[in-house]
Amino acid sequence: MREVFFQGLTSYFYFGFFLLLPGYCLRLVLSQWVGAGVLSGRGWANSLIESFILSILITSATGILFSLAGLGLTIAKFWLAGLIAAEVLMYALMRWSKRTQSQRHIPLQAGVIDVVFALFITVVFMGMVSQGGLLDFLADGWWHLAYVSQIISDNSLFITKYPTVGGETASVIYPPLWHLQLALISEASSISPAVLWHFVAPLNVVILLLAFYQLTIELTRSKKIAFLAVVLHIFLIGGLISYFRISSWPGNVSYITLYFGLALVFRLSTMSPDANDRADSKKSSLKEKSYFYFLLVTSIFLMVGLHGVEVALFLLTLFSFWICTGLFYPPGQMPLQIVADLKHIRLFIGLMSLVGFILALTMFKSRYVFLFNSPPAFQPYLSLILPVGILIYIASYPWVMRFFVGSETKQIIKVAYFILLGLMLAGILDWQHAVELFFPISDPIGRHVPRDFQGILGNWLFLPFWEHQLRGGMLFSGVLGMLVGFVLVFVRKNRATLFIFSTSSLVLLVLLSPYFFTLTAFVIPLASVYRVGLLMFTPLVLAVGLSMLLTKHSVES
Amino acid sequence: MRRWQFLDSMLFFFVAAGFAGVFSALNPHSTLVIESNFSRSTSAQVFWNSGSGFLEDQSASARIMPGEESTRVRIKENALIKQLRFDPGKQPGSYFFSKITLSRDACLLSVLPFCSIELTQIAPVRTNQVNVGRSGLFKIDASGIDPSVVWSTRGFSHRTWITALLNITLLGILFSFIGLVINGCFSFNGIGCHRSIVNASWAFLIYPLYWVCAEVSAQYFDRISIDRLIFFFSVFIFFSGFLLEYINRQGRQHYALRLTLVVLLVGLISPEVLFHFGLINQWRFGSEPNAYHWQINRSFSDNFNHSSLRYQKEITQIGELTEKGSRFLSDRATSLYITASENIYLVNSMPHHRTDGSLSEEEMEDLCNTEIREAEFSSLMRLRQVSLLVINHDEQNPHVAQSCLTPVLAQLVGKYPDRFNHLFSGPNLSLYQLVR
Repeated sequence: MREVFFQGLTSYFYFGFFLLLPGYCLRLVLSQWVGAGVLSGRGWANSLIESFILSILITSATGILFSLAGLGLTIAKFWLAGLIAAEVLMYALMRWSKRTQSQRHIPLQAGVIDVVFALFITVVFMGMVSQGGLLDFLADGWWHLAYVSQIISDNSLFITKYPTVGGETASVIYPPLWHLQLALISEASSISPAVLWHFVAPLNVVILLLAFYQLTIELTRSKKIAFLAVVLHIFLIGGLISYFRISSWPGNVSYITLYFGLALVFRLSTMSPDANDRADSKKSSLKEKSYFYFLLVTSIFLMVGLHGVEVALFLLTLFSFWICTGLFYPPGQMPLQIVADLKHIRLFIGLMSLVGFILALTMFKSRYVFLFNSPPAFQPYLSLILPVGILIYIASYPWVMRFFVGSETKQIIKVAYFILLGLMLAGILDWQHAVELFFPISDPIGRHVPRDFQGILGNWLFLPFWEHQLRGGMLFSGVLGMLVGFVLVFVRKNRATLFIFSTSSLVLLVLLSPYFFTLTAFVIPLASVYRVGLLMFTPLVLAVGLSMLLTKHSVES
Repeated sequence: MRRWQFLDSMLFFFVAAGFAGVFSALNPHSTLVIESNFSRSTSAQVFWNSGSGFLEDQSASARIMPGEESTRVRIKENALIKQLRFDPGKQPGSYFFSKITLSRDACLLSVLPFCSIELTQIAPVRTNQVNVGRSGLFKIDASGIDPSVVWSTRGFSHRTWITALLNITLLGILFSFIGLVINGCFSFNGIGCHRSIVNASWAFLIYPLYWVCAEVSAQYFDRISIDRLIFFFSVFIFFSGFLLEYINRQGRQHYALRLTLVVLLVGLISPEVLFHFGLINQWRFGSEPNAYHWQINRSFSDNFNHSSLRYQKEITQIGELTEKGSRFLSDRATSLYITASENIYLVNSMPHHRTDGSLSEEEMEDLCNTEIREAEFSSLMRLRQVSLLVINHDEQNPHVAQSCLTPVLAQLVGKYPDRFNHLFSGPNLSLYQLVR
């Protein structure tokens, strides 16, 4: 046992080399372009996540190119070593020349809380080393490990045999970028993929928590709340995203990019240059913005390459934020920061929808042809018409209100609008399904996961089984988080509470309404729609809620 | 006494009545507490007679473990219980008890005989196949396989409203007294503290919400008996909230509401924290697998002993000895462990990963049959192009030890040694090549 444990500890050297160092060095080079004091000013947690994300980008690009060129993966480690050396050399040269260095500087505001947080994260890391990521029961993790082994065996990202059982297969049967990372590390270190799988979990847990910390900071502008949210994230049972012992799975690695991607969206809209800034400062600010756009695109690319579903979750989160914001601000009275948020969000949704549409017509054409010929799209099309109609109704609120600005009937229209909305939502939710969360029935309707049944007009509908990794997350912190999430925005309206309200609403509608669940199956594979549950962000909700209860002014507006 | 003081005391009394009424309404049943000292485990059954005799649907069972144990059996009956029958087990022999007590869940304070009755202190009205005696411990000597003891509970049973009235009276007096003391201690200058009392009443929410959680969790596990503790804690929060509201009566900070909400929030998430700290070993609200979550009592050796890490060296050796791409048969866990590291393929895959080359469920059932003939086995292996056999002898790892396949494979190898070419044996794994 000791031998395996020490072998596992040596794997951290390789994790550092493959999963942190290339990205860290690239970041050093870029910091000379953006401004040395700019990137370091965002703290060590941010540096670590960025290094992780950029490293995976570099190693993935290496793996894809080498596989396409037929060079094999065995020489990738030498290439990476050369690349790291080149990056360091470039950094040294840039520093020496000092020609490109900006004078702009973001002061590093390190306080006691940062030290405590760093110590806390170290303890979490050490604790997770003994917990590990190799499950002591038979689950899909073993299939992922076999995928890693197959990549090593084929010496290419593109496999020739189906993992575990062999036989002919397509060259890519699952988003392979995380498997590629482990294959590269296993090949370079001669450590078995199973041992790596066990020991990479603590690293992934720490990076996930740091990404969540960054997201909370971007939303609340408070390190205290962010720290509390991280502590709650460790202790709450919140569905897949809180399963620390499966942090080595591709889906869970992808959640890191989901958290960080969302953090970047909100960071970008808080980076508006000051009109009084000097020209070089403005230029540096623009460069920094470009750098964060680059990181955001990287995060989105990794969401696709690591697991896939998270891109849809990312878009759904932004979409729900956009659509809910309109309900809370009368036309023309939206704060500037929210306006900036929405500007970015509309841009991302527009661009990504366009890309998604093109992909659906080209690469995923067969899937969408199948989808539009499957039960969710059967006549009388109510599974599409009803939820889309409600979404249009919600989105139309600002436009409706615009017609009544200054009118005496405005208040009456407003009340009528929300009464009708409430009735529509109450009608579209499956209340029996809600009761089954608390009191399960022994023989639920339907044969599949998720369960299927027909509505009163014969349309096919779907709902998740609560047993499918949802009940643990919902009872009781999830239910509590959802309720708190709905209330907070009425106590104090700002970016954080709006975000929390929108994601809570999204989760409520998708998990409790068969119509919204079925509609979501058009953007996420039906079997994965239940993953929307992880967008509850329960630790964030409860951290914000607790801080509002315990302090007077906890979340900056 | 000033008018305000009297009104405040009355208000305290009504709040107490509310608290007591809610507690009584949510706890209409009784509990039998069996304090035993058995030499073996047994399945006891309790019947209650509410007028129509002892019926199977008016009974509850409980597993009583050997040694000094305290077992709680909930008696879900709203009607008056006239008699109680206790069947200690289905085996003849001696059963020792230090105490068997029937108590009303609704009782806030244990006022005898309203609230509990110690059955071991009163003479049974009827027995079957038993002798009852007392020599330090209460002893039931069972001579047959259907022993039972029947006690009359007439003196104990009352309507729920009597218990509720008792609770309201006791708690009302207590609250009014505390109210008077507070009024006496603080100088209210003729100002009533009714607003503080009303604001502090948010603490009413604590107990009902706890009750809902306890009921939901009771579907999966025995109910934890901390009801009274939680109730008195909610009373404590009420008084804390009241004091906070009174001290800060100038501002409108809603301290009592905040305090209650913080308590509720922390209370509702506390099972999750306790679960991670290993104080709750199973998730109380459903079938959440422990393995997904970190728990403080899990160690590296747990993972080592219940996963492939234990055999990693042997797996590597097997990989070196076998031809790349060949197919092997082993129990499901070992099959997955090997394909996770080596380039040979399994035929015994998990159901949702089955392909054309995998063994079907029926074929797996055939293979698990200890009567399987060697010819039948060989034919199936030929059909699935299996050339290797791996037997895992580990008895610690439950996923391996519980496999039905391992004993069959070991039996076949032992019975037909000429049909299996032995290639490798490690502390846990053995590798054989099938001879065609």
